[in-house]
Amino acid sequence: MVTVPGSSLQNITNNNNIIMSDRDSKLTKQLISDSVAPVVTIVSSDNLDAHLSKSFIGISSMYDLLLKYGNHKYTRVADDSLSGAKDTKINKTKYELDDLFTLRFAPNIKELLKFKDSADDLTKQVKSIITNPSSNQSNIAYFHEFFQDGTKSMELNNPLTTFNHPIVALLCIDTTTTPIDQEQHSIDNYDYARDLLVEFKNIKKKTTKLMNYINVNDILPVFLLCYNDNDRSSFETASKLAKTLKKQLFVESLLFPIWKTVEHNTNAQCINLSENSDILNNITIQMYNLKTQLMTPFMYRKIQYWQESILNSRKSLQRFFFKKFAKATAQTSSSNSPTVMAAEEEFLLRKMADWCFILKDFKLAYICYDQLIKDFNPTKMSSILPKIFKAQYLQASHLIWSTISIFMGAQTIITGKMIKSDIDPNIQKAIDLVVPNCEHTSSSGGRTARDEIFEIVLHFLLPISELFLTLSDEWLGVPYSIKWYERILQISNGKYFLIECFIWERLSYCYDLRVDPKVVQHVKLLNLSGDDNSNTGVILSKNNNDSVCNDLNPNKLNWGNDLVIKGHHRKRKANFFKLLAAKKWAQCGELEQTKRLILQVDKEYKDLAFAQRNTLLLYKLKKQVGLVS
Amino acid sequence: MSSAQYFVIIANDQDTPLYEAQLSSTSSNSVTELYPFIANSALDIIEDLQWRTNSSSSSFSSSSSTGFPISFGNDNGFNGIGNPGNTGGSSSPSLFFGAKQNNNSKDLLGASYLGFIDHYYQSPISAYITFGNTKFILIHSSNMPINGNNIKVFYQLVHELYLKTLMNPFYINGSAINSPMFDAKVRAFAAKYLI
Repeated sequence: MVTVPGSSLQNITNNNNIIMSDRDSKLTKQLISDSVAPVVTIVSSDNLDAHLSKSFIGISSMYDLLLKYGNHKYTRVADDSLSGAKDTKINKTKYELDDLFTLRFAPNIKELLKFKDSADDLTKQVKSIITNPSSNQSNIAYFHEFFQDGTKSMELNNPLTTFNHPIVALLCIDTTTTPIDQEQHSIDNYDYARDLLVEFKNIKKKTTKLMNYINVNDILPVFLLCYNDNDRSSFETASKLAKTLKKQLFVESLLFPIWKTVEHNTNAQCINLSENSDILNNITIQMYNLKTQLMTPFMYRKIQYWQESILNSRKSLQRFFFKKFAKATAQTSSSNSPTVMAAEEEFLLRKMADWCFILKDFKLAYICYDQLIKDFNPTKMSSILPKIFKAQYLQASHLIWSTISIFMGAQTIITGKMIKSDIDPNIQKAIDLVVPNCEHTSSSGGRTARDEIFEIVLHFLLPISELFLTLSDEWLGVPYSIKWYERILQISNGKYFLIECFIWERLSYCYDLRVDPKVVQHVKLLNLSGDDNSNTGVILSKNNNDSVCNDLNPNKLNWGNDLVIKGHHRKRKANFFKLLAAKKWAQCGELEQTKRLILQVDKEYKDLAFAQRNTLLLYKLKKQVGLVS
Repeated sequence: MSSAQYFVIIANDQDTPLYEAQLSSTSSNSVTELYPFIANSALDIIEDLQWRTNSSSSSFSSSSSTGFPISFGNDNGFNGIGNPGNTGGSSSPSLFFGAKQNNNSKDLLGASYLGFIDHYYQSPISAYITFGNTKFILIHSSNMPINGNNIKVFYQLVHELYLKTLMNPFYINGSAINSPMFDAKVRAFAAKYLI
């Protein structure tokens, strides 16, 4: 008896991907939250950077340290006494520490402006993912890495990416009383801290051109005072400085005992941070304090203010007059002034929506995006935005993020009707707003209009496609996911080959997920029958009768054993798309990837004689990767 | 030049082709090496249609005349996106392959024709299913006009031919059809109706 690839009951029951597990669903949402996590800029003194590089292996600055370990998960230390007075806090918050949003660290605002995550950069990142020998070999792990890179926001100097607006500026100072190198530096003090703050406040004056979407007033400055916990005087200096900074400059400080376990002398050895869970936990606690005590209250304060001053007034009777008012202001406002741009109501409302999204208040975020969509005024937006940027892109962004908010939790139940009548048309509308402009957009800085379109579409559709897979009814959600993945392929049209390979592989995964919930129940029933024949013996005895009848009449019509699941899955399609993905990888010269997929596909096709023919693709690919001679 | 590229007959309970014919000599090698896999993947859709009770086959046939959405071989065109709510199938499958139950034998024969069920890189795929659950699949050319009625006639003629083969005492049910006569007739039908 020839086994039908993927359709046999055994294959389906053994396949863990039959339903996207809750874990995968949570992971997708987590990845999306992480990709828009609050940005924290880090400015550290030369003193501190030098001290850190001498103390820790592979750390050259505070930015380096926080980039590597700032989002470290809390791990239980064997000896809790090391945590001293803060032990109770650690116990209390152990689970909360891992539950909050993550942080994205940037060196400083100037550097942040230079950062650009173009599709070409993404292709390079994809290349690094697949060539990294430490990468997990499973398809899902590869894709999650790709997804993480793909959902990153683009450059900062772009109105679509208000998520990249920094929320906290960490000004890091070394307060150790004994300089580690006698020749070096004076100790960082109040004057130095004040200069750092003044420089931060005046940054907009220095770089005006690229600061259109930055508002320094919406960034919370926080001093991070690093001290040696073994040195009492160091702690006292840090505490005193924190009090002075609070009193004189009205800026909060965090005391960071980073050299807690390191003896301070010139012969002290560098320690490897990844092996020192105590220091890592200290970092986690400080970052937790930053999030809960400073960042979140600051964000909520701002959101509340914007809600009262902008959102509520728009939702009131005034909204009827809003469009007329907007037209009037569009004519009078000095459109190219950076200050006006960052403080424009539209941008503030968008920022409010984004911040609500970051704080996981998806309902309020959805309300804001919805309001932005309703109030969108192309004439006004065109007057505010730079000429090279289309106002329609911004509207498309509002549409997409409102849809993402729905999936993330703005609506508790998502029905098929809602998808068909609201969600899918909104996505279609957003893509239509972006794609038709392709021909009319001029190229800039070596990038063609098509590149720009592709970047926007990829950043819009990648999370959307994944979120459709998180619906509990895969039979309903998967076709939409496939539709939008295919749209990305159409727009790429062979240009971004490596990105396409990932998407072909993901299409295979989508088909693999598409199993009718009715069949899942049937499979569960059959699984139970393996343990207890009392209830489902009918099915088993029926199969036995079939075999008896077949013996009597070999020409009897044979429907196969797994009649119930027929037509309720897309396993054959999943295998076929996996084969296509293998072909695409081979065309890119990535034979390792081809081999990985061919090994999976070959298992499914092994019983089908036609698939093994040497004129067909499977055999050719096997030969190419050395699986057959 | 034929509008069809590849024709395959697939056995009732297996995924093994009983008969295959390359109907066009102009296809590139990169596509021909995929044809059997494309036909195999289309079986998922055929089975879905076969066991559906709430829609008639005519709806699938009509979709063929309205052109094909640009796609990469998904099943969106007929059930995926257009009406995702109806893709769950039925708990009480019908042996009439999704057709309205009708005593008129002509209608029943027509119901065996599933129309255009799928597409790969804009190449439409049509299918026909016999009462014995044997599937006939045609992969068409993407750049040739297609006449749905002619395809239906082609399938019915091949069905007749297949029935005659089944009645042959020397033919074992489920084995590959190697008869040169059968092959010649199929190609003749294709030349006549699939232009």
